[in-house]
Amino acid sequence: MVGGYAGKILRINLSNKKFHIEDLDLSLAKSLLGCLGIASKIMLEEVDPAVEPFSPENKLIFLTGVLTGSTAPAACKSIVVSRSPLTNIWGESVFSANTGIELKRAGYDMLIIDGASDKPVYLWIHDDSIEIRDASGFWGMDTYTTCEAIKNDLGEKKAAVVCIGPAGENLVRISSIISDNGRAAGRCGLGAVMGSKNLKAIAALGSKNIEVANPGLLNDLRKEIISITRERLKALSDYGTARGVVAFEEMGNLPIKNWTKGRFQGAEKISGMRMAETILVGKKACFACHIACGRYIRVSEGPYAPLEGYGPEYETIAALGSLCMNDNLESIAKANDLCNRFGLDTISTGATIAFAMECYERGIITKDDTGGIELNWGNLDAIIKVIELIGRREGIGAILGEGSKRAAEKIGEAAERYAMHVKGLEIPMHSPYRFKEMGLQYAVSERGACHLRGLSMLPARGILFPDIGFDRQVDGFSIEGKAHLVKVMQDICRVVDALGLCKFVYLFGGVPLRRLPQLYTAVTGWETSLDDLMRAGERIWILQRIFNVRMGVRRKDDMLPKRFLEEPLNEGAAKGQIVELEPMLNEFYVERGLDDEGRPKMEKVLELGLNFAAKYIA
Amino acid sequence: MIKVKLVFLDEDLRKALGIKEDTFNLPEGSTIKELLLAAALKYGEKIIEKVSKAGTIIALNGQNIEFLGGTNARLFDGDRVAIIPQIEGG
Repeated sequence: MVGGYAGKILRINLSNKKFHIEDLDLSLAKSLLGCLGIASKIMLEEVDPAVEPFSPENKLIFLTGVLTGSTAPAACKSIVVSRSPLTNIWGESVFSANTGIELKRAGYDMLIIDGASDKPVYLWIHDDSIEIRDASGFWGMDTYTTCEAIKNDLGEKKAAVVCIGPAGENLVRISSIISDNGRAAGRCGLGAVMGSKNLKAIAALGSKNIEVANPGLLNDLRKEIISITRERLKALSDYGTARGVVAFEEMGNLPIKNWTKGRFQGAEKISGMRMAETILVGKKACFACHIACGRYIRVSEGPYAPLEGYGPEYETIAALGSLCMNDNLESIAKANDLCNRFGLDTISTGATIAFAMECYERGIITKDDTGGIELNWGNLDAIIKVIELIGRREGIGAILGEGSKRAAEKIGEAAERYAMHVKGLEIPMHSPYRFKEMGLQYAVSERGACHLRGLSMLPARGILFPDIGFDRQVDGFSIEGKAHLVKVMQDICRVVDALGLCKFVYLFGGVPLRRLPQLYTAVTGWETSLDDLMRAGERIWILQRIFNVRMGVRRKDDMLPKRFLEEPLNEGAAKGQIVELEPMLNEFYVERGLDDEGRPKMEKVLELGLNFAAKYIA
Repeated sequence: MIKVKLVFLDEDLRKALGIKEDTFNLPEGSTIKELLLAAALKYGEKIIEKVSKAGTIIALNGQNIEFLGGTNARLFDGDRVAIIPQIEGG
């Protein structure tokens, strides 16, 4: 057996309660860089446009990266894939769930779930034993309680669990999946897909070793990577991802008041440094990570006490903080805790509340619509109340839980301009006014507005990648060369995801990218090069684009909210800027081998050796 | 003379200096280079070490000076200069 892989795919049908095990096709694993690429092929072949996100025929795929669970540093990532109920297109979320590692140790690289149970169930995968167990007693429980209750039910504390909360059960379209180590597969509403299948949780425990082809080489690489990144990422360890709040406010990257303001006086109050000085009581590391950027907090006094648990990270702090004009760190910690317990994506939740606040300010919705809640900017109690309503799908929460796009459609035409999303996925917390490349990236990302599928702003932030041609800083306000930048950064991000590695360590930590093929070879035993890996990353992107084109995505959908195109800010570092999307989009289509409507050209598909996909674009 | 605000966004630098920002009076026509020299004279080599570190950005009113002429970028009264460390994550 080749190293890294368990070699099996487990398929479970929740309708007929049957499962079967398939061999992983190793030649496909080679060309498509493991399960992320293979899952892209499976979704293309098995989920056609007639399969609605909440229909039993929709697939929910839980997969591991090629290196996941190995001793490569921060090889901790698992990925959930489905047709998204929020966007109706490719849905995907990457997280550090230990369940993926245990799944691989149990002997499976990938779990494919379809069908729907007629009553609440959870899966228990323990080496060769596969059980579909009753989850009626856990239905309605919050995520943290569920994870513990399931471990107790199994009598197995070492089991790794991921689950949904009430939001996913209630088919809230911005719901997440939460792991027992406090990590979230937040984006694209995949928790609601679990809910639609009456699947409360997945628990796994395995006893097999994950084989490594060349342990000596892997150990040498491991030492080098830890040595480089421990020093480079020290501040990330000390202050967490929220370290960026103040610097991003200074450079015009922090989103403020639903993207209408360029300065935020409260940035210091919600920063990672302030957190470290006040509520931080510990750090949390993912599997095989030496950095520990995760936060553990305790609020002992004030209106949000007592509160103890996983702390908010940058995206959450910006979404539930500056985007809503909230500068109270303890309230953000409380909102984060609530979102995680209900199983709600903090980015989409914060962005949708900010949208509602702008509608309220403009009189498009009133207290009659909100059930008496005064949705004023920075109203801390209102934010907390609305999160609870979204999680329970009650009152105004029943509308907002649909996500900002659908909520705007329900509220009426006057609201649509203020819904900040791409293809239905809310804009994450990096400004396309400040980094034009992020505007293009949001417009063309596989899953709607996504910052992590590309991270194309990094060279403009001084983080360089000479091994893929970015050896000097780029100007974030310029559009020159941005199509090429976005394309290449998308491909490298696909590579890091497919390998199961953490982007913070490998893309922010100063690791030469040429170490990636060496890691891959050390674990699998297969020779490769960075060019080969990038080619595989490109294949994955094109396959997911074909999936989206099948679902109806065209050029008109590769669009940004009009605000970014027409309404410049009147203050801050990005004052006066708008995103010149069209010329970047034209160049991007050429870079990617797409036609004028954004469909992959046949010659590109064949050039990449994706002959099996040709029939879907014919 | 012009007044220019220098803002420190690096946590270690803040701790070492005990301040978050300082205001400097400089002759008309001064550049970023003169500002940094004035800061180094007042606070020592730590400033230069931070500025020289890979990934550090110097921003003039939020704009990366790399695209404003580097340390030769001219300063005007009321300008705000920030030393921004490499920000990981986000």
